[in-house]
Amino acid sequence: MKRSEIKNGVAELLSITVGRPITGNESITRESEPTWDSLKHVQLILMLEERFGVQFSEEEMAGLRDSDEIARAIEKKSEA
Amino acid sequence: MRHSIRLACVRYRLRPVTMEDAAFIVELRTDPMLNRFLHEVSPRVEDQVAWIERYFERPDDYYFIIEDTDSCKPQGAIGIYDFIENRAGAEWGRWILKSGSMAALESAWLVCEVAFAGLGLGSLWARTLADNPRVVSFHDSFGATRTTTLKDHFKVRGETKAAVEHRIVAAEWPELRARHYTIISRLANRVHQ
Repeated sequence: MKRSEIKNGVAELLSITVGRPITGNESITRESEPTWDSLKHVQLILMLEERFGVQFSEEEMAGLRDSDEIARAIEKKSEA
Repeated sequence: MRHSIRLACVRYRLRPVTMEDAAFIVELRTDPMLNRFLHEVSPRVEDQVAWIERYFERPDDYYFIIEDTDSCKPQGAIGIYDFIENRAGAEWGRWILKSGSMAALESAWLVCEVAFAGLGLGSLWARTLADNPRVVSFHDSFGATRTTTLKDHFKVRGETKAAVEHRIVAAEWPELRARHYTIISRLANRVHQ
């Protein structure tokens, strides 16, 4: 899967999480988005896993703190 | 109060706070990353022991440790207190979790289950520092109703701060319970795969 496809897919799911449109080129962090709370984070992880066919460990889940990091983690898992 | 309520969900459970938890509570509540939005506490374990002794004497005050069901390692703390007449309602709070803990959803689920199914409360409210938007958002996402903003409700490091109040009534809990249990189960099933 191309990096741009991953970034666009992540942005689409993050739009649901934070309740506003996010583009694939936009970088957002949990710190900068007050509505990206811990419940929405869990829901985001479940959506990402389903969409991209990957699985995150509990430690990885807690460590995913921004959109770029999420896209990189999915890319890495997709390559493996 | 000394209580004996223990309740497990899937990955986490609640158990009564004991004297032996004093050091753990101090460790959490003096962590600058975690205590930004909480009342200050003394960094001395002896003071926390004294606080727990006083807590044991207070009726209708239920303080819990949140722990991992597999490892029994503590993840945080949570409580139900400030009951109103005839158990019509109470507040939940003193909620704190270790950095990186994934116990937020389950611990909130567990405290509601204790309140409504265990203690038979009519409603449960939470008051969050308005300056803590992520936890305010958590309560919104959890399905609690934002009822009011209380001016000058908290005093944190010498400053008075507003609180946002969220409330769940007993009649709402069955639907919320089922909704969140689905997420908890999905998460646990794939984590344990």
